[in-house]
Amino acid sequence: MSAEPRIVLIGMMGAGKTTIGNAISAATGWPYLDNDEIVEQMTGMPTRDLLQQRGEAAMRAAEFAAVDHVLAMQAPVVAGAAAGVVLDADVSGRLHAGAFVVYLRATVETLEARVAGTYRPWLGADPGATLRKLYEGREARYEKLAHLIVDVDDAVPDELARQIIEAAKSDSSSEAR
Amino acid sequence: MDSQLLHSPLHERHVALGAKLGEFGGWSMPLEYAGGGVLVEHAAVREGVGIFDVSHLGKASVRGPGAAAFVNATLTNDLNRIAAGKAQYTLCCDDETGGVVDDLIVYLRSDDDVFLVPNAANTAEVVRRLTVAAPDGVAVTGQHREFAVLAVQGPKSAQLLESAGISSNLQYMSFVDVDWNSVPVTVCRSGYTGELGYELVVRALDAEQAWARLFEAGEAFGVRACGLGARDTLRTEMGYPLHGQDLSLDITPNQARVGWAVGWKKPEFWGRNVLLAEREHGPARVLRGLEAVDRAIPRPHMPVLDSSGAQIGEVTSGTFSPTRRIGIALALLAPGVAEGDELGVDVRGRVSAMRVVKPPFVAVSPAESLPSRGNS
Repeated sequence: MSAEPRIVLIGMMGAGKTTIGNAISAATGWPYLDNDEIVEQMTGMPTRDLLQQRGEAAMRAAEFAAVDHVLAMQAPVVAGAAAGVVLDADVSGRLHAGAFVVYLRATVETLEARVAGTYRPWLGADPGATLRKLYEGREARYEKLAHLIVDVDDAVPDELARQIIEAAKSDSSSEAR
Repeated sequence: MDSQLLHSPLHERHVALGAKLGEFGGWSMPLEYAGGGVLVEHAAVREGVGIFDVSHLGKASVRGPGAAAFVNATLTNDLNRIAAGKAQYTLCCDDETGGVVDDLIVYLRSDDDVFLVPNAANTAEVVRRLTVAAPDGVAVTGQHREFAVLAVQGPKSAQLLESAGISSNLQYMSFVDVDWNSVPVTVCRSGYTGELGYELVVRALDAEQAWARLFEAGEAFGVRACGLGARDTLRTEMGYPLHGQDLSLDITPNQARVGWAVGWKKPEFWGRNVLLAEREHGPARVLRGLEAVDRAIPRPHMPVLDSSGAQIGEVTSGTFSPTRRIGIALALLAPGVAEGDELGVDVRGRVSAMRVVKPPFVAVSPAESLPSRGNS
């Protein structure tokens, strides 16, 4: 009986969901799906366009639907959730109950350094200030939602991936077939 | 992907459509497609129409004088209940234990000609058991790779077929062999989704053409290619058992509550004695539906607990229901459990409340609400 994990990575933008998700995928062969990828698959539109053309509510709705998508998929699967999933009690409740949730925790300094120079228009003119504000409101929620918390600041992605794989495999609710 | 895996004759089509592939019974098959995904594909079948490649399903013929009588003396359901031109859900049980070797569909062509559609992973074993038992003159032939199977499912499936030039005027579990513009095809009104639907058996060499024709005709109806991920959520919403999870060599038809697919009055079928005895005394466990009272999503092998915390069963299939947006499950439970009871499922050490219900978990048209097949 082999474990078939359903891992969902959460955390702030810049925490490394895509990097670590891909590292887990490379080590295991489990498919990795990024939130943006699922949103585009479901709506036919990249998240960025969705935000610009249909507004924030439409983008959030698509991001929440992406969580349901991951919950309905066949395991094994690794997915990155939108940073904002913690804002909705219903969605985060389903996520907590239906997947092995891993919080990639970074200090706000790490996040600031990582998002510098990337295209994230919603962070506005002072990305650092925006990040700090978002961070304060969300950190406790991420911690509450997670089954596993890993600190990503100085860690090597492959090492974090290994740690997450181990934990997911021994998670009592990993699906088997 | 393991290079040992078998490919459907439509494999190239799936790759071109950006399918995510997964292993099903030794075959590499589409789980979901780019531009769709399990939720979108699931909704397409519930609300419109979707097409599944289920060519991994087994195919075998039993031919020769008395072929139907032989099948009737081995598999559980009573072939005398149906006439030629009808299909039937049946079970191949182990004679000693009554455990389910496979659940399959039998197409009754004539007294001397029966076509079987077992599950991918069990086809070789079903063919082996039948071959060993077949009387002189009756030939059991595995045809796993000779045919492709396409399932057209959803409320608009009849319109799609008509538009493609195939008559949709069939009763549930009836089939016809038709010449579809030089493509021989067996069309059966059946499926594994609970919706109006048809399964088309074509020669492997005609599969690409059949697929193309169906999608061309389906464009006007918003047809979607659907993967086996959606097939699993659709069948779970119906409470249809899947071999390998809800049915297995360790699970009998009485336990899985598919006794309706057993011809109890027949003088002979594999497992008859042991199954009759179990039926009389009552099975030690029973497959029932569970739906989440809170947000939990039950998954296979999670323990089911009674109100005192004692384990009284185990989840065999569980998923997030895209239609209901709650967790649903099939579980093998102690026989004393009744519909309406509230039980717990241990999800990561936290006990979540689940209510015992009678599937289906969603409302569907009554004619389509009988199970017809598993897809392990």
